[in-house]
Amino acid sequence: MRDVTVTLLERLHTHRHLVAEAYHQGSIVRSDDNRKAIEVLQQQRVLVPHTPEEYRLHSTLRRFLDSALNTHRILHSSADIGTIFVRLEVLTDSYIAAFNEDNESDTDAYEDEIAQAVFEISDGLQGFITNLQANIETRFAAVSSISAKRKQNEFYLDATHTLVQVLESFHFSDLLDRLQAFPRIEELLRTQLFNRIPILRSTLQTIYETLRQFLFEFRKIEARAKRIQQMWLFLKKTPDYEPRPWDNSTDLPPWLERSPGLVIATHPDVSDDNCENRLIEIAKSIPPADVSTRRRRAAGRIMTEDVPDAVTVQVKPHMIALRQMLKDAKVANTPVSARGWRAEHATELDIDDALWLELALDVLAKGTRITKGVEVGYDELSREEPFAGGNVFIKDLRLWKNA
Amino acid sequence: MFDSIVMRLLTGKFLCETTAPEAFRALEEDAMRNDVDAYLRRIGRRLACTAGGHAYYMAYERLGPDERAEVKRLFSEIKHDLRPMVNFLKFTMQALRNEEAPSPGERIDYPAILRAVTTHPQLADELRNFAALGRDFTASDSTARSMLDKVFTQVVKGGYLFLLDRDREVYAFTGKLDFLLEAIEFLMANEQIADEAPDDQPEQMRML
Repeated sequence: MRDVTVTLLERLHTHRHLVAEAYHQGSIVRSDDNRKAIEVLQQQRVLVPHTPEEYRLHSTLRRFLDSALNTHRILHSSADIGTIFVRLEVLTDSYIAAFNEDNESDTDAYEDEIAQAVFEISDGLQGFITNLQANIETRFAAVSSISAKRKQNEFYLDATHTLVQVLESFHFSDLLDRLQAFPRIEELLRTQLFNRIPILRSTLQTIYETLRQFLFEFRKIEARAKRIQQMWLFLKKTPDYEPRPWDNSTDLPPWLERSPGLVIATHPDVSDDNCENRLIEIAKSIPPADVSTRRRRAAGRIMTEDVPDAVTVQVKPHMIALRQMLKDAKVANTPVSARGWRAEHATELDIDDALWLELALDVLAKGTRITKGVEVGYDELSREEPFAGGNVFIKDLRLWKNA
Repeated sequence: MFDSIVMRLLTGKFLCETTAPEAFRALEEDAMRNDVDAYLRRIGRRLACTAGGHAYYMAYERLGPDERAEVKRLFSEIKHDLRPMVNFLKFTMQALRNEEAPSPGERIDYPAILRAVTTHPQLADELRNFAALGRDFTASDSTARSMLDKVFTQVVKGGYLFLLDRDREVYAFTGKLDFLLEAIEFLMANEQIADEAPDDQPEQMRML
């Protein structure tokens, strides 16, 4: 028997990817590649036909994987547990009958089966409760929509109720009395099931109450969502909606009785000895004030100063000439030529025409009081030679008073 | 814990699982509730709980002429919050493709909503519509982030949302939402608003 178990486990290991695929996808399709592997697994009752071309995991293995992997696929657990309870009753009867018939081999076989059924019930109940508690904790997070949550909740509510009833009827059955003559089995049933029934029943009862509360809340949430949508639609269709003056009503709705907050300020009682240590602590924690010592400036005294020497500002001759030219331009009726003016009025200056124009341009560019109100025109000359640099050559300036 | 609870209530705060989990859980105990209520009654107030049981707050024990003025102020605050909040609740339901109405404590993932807005033009339109509710909801520019920021800021300022995680931009609805929903349900029941079937609305919800 041990070798058979090892062989089965080895085969499961060899085809582990196929088994995992069948578990996660629900079924696998037969192909040329997996045909042989499917045959092997079918012989081991790991896979069973689902459709002519598809295979699924045997429900026993699927349940084992659900439980081992702690998945939430326990929708049928309660029904299974109920069935096993029925089977346990039948096995007990068969065991007693075989014992009475003095059929030792059958008695041993039934004893094994009874033990297996007891463990199945015990593991199944624990698995059901653990998974259900996980679902409750996450509020059925495995499904996202509220209607799906409500459906799952309703299912589990029904399943829990059924289990509580099964446990109750089992608890009050005469199974233990009938097995009194068989201490080994009686002990097994008592320790593994009967002694745990009150706790299990109480846990299931708590779960049942929680599920009922959830159902109430799910229904409330659904109704609330509907109302928000209705209100949103109403406000959209009625842009000028204004609620009636409920604040004038003699019988106010409870939510309108809310009191606003009070402005509360507290001050430490420095005369209270109990506060002293705390106040010292606070005082120590305050950084020292940044005291700035202001130095007083000594009073000044009147001092006599020598009268400064008179300075005669020397204005350069070209500057005097330029100022005069600008003055003349402001009163002239026609534009004044800069070169013409110089030739006429400033021949004594020891500068050539190019420098005279440059100085005039400099004064005009600075835009001082004397240039104010003077317009400038340029007599330009641009070279059209093949290698001209693009510079503009100014031949002369014309100055006149602006409008 | 008693002093912390009373101080919060006295300053007009809602105590809920989101904003003050320890205080809220302490108030779930009968003894604490009775103590706090007895204390408040000595100053003409009482401990009140929202209809959904998600938040505690301070209410008047008796209503005189002075209190009536405060009732008026409170009602005007609710009227002010009504339209933006209903829009916001509907908007989040649409953005998260959720047929559930948001409940106090429910987390709101800002990046997920922003993603939804940038993916669905219909939602972007809904977001833009918030600007029609006034300057408080008008963003400085027309980017989705800027508009959504503005809306979230206002809802947080109103006390309906609470920033749980600044880095991941995760928010949660507070117990004050329960208070507003109570007011909405009252108005719907007493002003015959609930008659229209929500199925009349455009296909947008299902299209998302």
